[in-house]
Amino acid sequence: MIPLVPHVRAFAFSLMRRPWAEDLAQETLHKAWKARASYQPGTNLKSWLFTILRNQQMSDARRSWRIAPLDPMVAENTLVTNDDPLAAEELLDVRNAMLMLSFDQRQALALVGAAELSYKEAAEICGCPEGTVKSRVNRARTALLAILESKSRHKRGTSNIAASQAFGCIMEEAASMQAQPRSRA
Amino acid sequence: MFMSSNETRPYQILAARGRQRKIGEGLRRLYVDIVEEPTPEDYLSLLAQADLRSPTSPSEHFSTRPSTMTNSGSS
Repeated sequence: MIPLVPHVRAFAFSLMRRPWAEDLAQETLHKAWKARASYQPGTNLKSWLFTILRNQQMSDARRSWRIAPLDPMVAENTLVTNDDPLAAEELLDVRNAMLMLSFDQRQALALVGAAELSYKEAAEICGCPEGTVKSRVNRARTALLAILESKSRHKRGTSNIAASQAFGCIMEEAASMQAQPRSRA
Repeated sequence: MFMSSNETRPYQILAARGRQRKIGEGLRRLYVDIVEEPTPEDYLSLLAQADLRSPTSPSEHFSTRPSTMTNSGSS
């Protein structure tokens, strides 16, 4: 089980913010250990662990506020790794956008897009048909793009205003230059 | 917020695909970064405690003893 601990953590981190992700991953390993007799040797141990984690998250969701879609105002502002500040900012944006998705979409995209499992494996873990996973992944990707686009539009917005003001200044300047000869004449 | 399809130019579709691909790479990168992080000590002690408390000897798949780290080379 130890070689899969990093994957359990990574899956939890794809779904939750850091402190809750650690809780979720540890709870998963604890549950897995207690339920180890129900694991069938020869079947995929990673899928089995991910199923436990996914079920744990769903049961937490039923009795807790803690997995509510992330409030962007309290979004995470640090990543542990990454030397390139620009790339780190982009990754952080992706992460925060991911945490704003609905549960179902987040799980589907975490399994297929982040953990790179097949649709079939993801469907078994989520307990739903493969087609449902596919449409959740597609909707999740569209939603992520929309969140990130609106964020970058928002960022660009300030410079656009500055640019249009600058453009306005140039036009005024040009108009006054044209007007000057006449006023002198 | 979304453009209707007859207003979407081919270059916009290409640009959206490119951004989509970057987002996908970002998701994967975030995952791999955590996989590559050293496992925090609390996880290992949690599993070690479970192992010690276990009355029966654990199966090969579930052994948390360090020796299994070397012979589970499937991944």
